[in-house]
Amino acid sequence: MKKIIALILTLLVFAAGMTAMYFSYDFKYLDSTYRWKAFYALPDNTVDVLGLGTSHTYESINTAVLWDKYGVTAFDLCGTAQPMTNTYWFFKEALKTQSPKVALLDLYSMCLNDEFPDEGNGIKNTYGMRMSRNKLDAINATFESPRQYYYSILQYHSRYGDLTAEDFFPYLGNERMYKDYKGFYCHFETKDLSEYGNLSDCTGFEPLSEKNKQALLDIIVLAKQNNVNLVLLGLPFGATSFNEEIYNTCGLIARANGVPFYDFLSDYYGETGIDYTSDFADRQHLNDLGSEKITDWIYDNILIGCDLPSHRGESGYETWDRDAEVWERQQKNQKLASCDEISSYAGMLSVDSDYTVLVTSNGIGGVNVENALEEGMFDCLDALGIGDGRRIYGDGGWIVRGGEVEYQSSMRDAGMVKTYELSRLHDAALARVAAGGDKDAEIFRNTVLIDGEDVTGGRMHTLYITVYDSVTDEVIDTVYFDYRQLTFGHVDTAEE
Amino acid sequence: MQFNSLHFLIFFPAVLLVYFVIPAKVRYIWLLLASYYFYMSWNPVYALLIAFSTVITYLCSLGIGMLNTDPRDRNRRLRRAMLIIGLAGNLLVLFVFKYFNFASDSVNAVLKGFGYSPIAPKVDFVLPVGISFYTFQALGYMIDVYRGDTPAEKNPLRYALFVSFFPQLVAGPIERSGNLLSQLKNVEKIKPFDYERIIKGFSVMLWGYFMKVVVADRAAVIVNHVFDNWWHLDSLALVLGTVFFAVQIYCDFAGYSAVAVGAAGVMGFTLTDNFKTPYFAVSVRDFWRRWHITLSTWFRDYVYIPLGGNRRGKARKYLNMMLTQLLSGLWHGANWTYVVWGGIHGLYQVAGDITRRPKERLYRRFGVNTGAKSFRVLKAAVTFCLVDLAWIFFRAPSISVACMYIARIFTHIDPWNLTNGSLADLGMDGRELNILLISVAALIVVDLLQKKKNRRFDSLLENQNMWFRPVVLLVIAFVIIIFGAYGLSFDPQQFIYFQF
Repeated sequence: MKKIIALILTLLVFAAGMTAMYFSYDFKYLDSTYRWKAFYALPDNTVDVLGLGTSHTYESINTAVLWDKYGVTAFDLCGTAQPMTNTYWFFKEALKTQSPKVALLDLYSMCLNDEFPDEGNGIKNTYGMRMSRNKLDAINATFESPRQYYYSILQYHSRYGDLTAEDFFPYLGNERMYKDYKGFYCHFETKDLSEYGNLSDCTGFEPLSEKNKQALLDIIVLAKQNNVNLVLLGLPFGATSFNEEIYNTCGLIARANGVPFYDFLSDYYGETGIDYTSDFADRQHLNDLGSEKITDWIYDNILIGCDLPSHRGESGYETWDRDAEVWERQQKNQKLASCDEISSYAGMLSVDSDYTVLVTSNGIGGVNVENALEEGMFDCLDALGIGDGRRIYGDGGWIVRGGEVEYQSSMRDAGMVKTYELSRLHDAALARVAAGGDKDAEIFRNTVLIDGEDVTGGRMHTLYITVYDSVTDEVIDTVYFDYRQLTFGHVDTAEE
Repeated sequence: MQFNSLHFLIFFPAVLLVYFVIPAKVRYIWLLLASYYFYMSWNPVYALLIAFSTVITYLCSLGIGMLNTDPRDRNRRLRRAMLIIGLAGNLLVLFVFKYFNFASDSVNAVLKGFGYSPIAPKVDFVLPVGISFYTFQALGYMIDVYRGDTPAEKNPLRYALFVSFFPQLVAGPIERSGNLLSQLKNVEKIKPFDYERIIKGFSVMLWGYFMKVVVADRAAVIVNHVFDNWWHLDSLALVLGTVFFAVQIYCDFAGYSAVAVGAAGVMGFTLTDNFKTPYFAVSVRDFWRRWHITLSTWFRDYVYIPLGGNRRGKARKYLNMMLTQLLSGLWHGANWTYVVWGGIHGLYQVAGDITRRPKERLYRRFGVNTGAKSFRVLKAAVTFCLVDLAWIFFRAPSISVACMYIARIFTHIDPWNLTNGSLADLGMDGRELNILLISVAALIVVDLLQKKKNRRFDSLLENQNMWFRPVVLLVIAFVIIIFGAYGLSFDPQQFIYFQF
């Protein structure tokens, strides 16, 4: 009897260990596998618009804008460099729990002709699905030797070297940011793509690979069988004539099958207002500005005619509200990070309860009450509640959270460190370290460390303000005010 | 299907489930079907080859067995003829599939050396896995019958199972009829479900998987890197590559054997232990009593002793030792490197025998305490170095490469490599190297315990407190699952001895 109990206990411990391993080791790529977790968590039949395709789709179709402005429920169920065959399986799987009225499919992956994607992208575009016939078929279509990919443990077991804190908490450790994720993700950088643009002159046709062509036809059939209005898109990016010739060929298929196709590289170039100098984050993807423009255009010219109801205010759609709030938050953070006007900066800091602000100052400085920049900095400090009224600088450190000063110190003791937990994944510290990193130096400076890394520039006679956002769980900006040089700017640690 | 494949992890429990449930009388038939399925999973055509070997040795042994009953041995010639037919048939198949191209290449090389064009043809056959193992097992049985050491098995299906028993089919242990066949005859008496037996069997399997999947396949990364880039590596890297190859081949082969022994043990069969802490051997002769034991005893009983053994004077004894080792080398592979490897071991043993008495006199003269632990450690270290040196020929693609590899060890010595970080450039990052070193350390500890207590891994766990064994097994299981070299990040390493 004892042996049986020991065996049962052993098996239970083994099962518990394997479960824990699954939850921590399993892949959680935000650009693919995690997307499925968020999709499966949706209430059934709540998605009206389904975005399909590659990163071109999920960085263009802005689900938060569709909800916030138009009350339309959308989800970008896409994957990085997702082959069209995988898009078919994604679509088929999605139809198990959702009945979208419209499916927006970007055709960029028709330009990818590899018979099989590289293994990393293959895993990204299959592993998020729940085990099912669809998943096995997707794996069979994705890998040359598919059997070893049926069991995800064979692939993720060796991640012990890559595990991060995010792997051990649900929602990648940030519930506010990722629990209500709707698949849209974009970058806020800007890249000038003015050398690319209108490809209307490109009228040739590039043959499609058989695999891609068949996958597209399968998607068209699947959409028709399920009464989904399929709309094909050629979303803007830094395209070449090869891409446009592929799209031209796709256009023939679209017309032959009665499916609308909006080619923004040629036919609809210029109509969306996309500016190739400012609306792209990189050659392949729109940025936040570009995604808003294209999404607005798509609603005004495509979705508006699809009788999509507005679900704003309805019960059961609160997750879209929260997703939109995250987008607003990201936009605000972007504004802060690009704000070069110090008094505006102060205004943005003062009223936000989700910001944690870490401030350090180094060295004694003079006072120049007639300097506008300095006045602006005093406004900042006052807004944070740490202006001392005397307007004389000295060494010091402050932590302000939600408008309340949680910590302040003169920070004169060499080697002192005040740690502060920002979230379950990140921590900060105010530290007094040797200037230049020389332990024997007699000059010390105060600095801010985020996860052990110095995020200030190391200047003396300088005030640093580091802003952390608890919603997006990231440091969004560090600015400096050099009170001897009287300069203000954003710290780019690479340059510093 | 390899033991470290998903296919086997599904196959084995399925076989067990049916094995535990079906009537005792038909269990051996079920095992025979499972064994043929196991072998055919490599290539269905292989079934024909093993069936041929089975049929010919079965029939010849049956005939020999019937003629054995004559007390006057009047049919000695016929008996011998049957033996020869059985031997020739099996060895011919082995030669065609394994050695034909090697022989052709060698003949053509000699012709070329004399300025003639190559004339020997080549064949395009894939070497069937395990052919050397089951051929020797079948031949051993037939010779035992001829010698009258064992009666001929009349049941063809039971005999077929003896030849094809899947746990030991493709890489040993090479079983003797006195052990395995006699157990197969009594399979009905085996209690199907015995908790302790099953747990012990799984323990041994788990340890085997640890050796193979965690240690051997990880060591292979360094070994492959060193042996693929030897011409621009320094002495220390080459030495480490050789040492890790010693680890790799031991863990690969002994790991497989452990899985085989454990799997058979779960079903109630006791296979011969094939390895007994070989790297703790205090001489090369001792090494061969601990390494691939079933092969060395096979060669002893069926080659060395029939050649005369040590009964015909010293010169003949040494000749017999050399011939046996050369054949043993050739058995391992169709390449002159294996023959040289075998020959080196032969020379070691001959030299060891010649110098035994002088060494003993020397030890007495200088008052060396040969019973001291430090002395035994020294002897083991020297033996390991000798064995490891020979492994270079086993692993190298050619004799010339092996010789240049060894020469480079002595001509490119740079002690600063120990501290200048170049050791990190052996094809494996620091974390993986640490995992490997810790695993090897664990292996050494377990081997030391096995040697000291003279007990196998499963028996070591048996006498501990009730909680100890499950905890150890759980730890090993999770180490295998997490740190095993399988999946996307690693190339699966087929068991080395499969090519034999």
